[in-house]
Amino acid sequence: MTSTFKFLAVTPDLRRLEALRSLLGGAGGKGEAIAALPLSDDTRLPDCAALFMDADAAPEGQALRRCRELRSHLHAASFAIILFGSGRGGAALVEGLDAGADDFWQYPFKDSVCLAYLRAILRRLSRLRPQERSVLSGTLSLDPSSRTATLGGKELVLRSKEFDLLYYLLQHQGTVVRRDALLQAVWDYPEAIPTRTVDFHVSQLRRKLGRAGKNLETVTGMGYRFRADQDQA
Amino acid sequence: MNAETIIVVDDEEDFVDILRQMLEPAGYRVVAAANGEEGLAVMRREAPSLMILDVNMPLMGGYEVCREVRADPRFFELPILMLTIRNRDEEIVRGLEKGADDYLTKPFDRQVLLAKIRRLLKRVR
Repeated sequence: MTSTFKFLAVTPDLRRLEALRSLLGGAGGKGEAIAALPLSDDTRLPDCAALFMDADAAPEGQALRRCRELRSHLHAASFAIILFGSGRGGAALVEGLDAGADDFWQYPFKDSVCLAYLRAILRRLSRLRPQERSVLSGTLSLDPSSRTATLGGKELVLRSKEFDLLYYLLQHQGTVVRRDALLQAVWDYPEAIPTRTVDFHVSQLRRKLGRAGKNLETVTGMGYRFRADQDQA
Repeated sequence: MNAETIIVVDDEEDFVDILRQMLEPAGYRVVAAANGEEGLAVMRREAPSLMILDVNMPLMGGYEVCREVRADPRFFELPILMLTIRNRDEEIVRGLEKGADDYLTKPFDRQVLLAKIRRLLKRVR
């Protein structure tokens, strides 16, 4: 998961809102809370990475309906939807998942477990649509549409393959990517061939990244990993 | 209908049979493997749409399977549902951090399993 993400929480219950805020804030979430989502004839989609909706909010069933409406939009799959509420047992979860939610959280929340699920959901979503989005880690940000990279607010000058390599590693932040996978994804090499190309570009990137370069780790015998920002002490 | 293939990686044969009886009537094709190593081989051969993965297995356990799947460019998008007896909070957190997309503890509710599978199989545009 990237170090910060936007969320939108929809609940009329202030205690639940506060619980969500502290849970998500601890994970780098920056968000806003509203009492109700825009009406369904509003075709705008929420601009956030994760949308939280209170399943118990009146009128009954509204959160599920809204969830279905949102998922019926063409691009609505690009953000996570998490329902929460007092529902016990599997029924609320099954209902929520079938309406298009990614999870149902029982309130009161188990923070550590909820966060782990949220990270897994955001990670899966970013795997599924890898092309369009900017990726970031700490103060490092890469925008594929403008092909610009910034570090600590300043533009980072990267050569084309350096950009592609760093972008790919950031997309898979926290996981080890094999050398042959990198050769295939960045250089279009059909199969593993002995070459120092990846290693050379990695060392160039480390130099350009300065202090942030230490996040670009070599995993002996496997490949490389861009360490997720939250792993830093 | 084009049945989606689900790979079940679990060393308990009886449990694999139970899963088969749950999944096949729901229209899925089930292939199975008894440990992580075999699981990776079967995955590469069968190209499944989803993996149901146990944690404790001989030869190669679930965490290592997760890492191998994610490091393979052909399969790094494969949804992984960890299905295990390990139900402590820190074990759930660990499984999800190791690369599982979802987690379910044994014993489980059949409807919950099927709903999770349906959700994980939804393609994102």
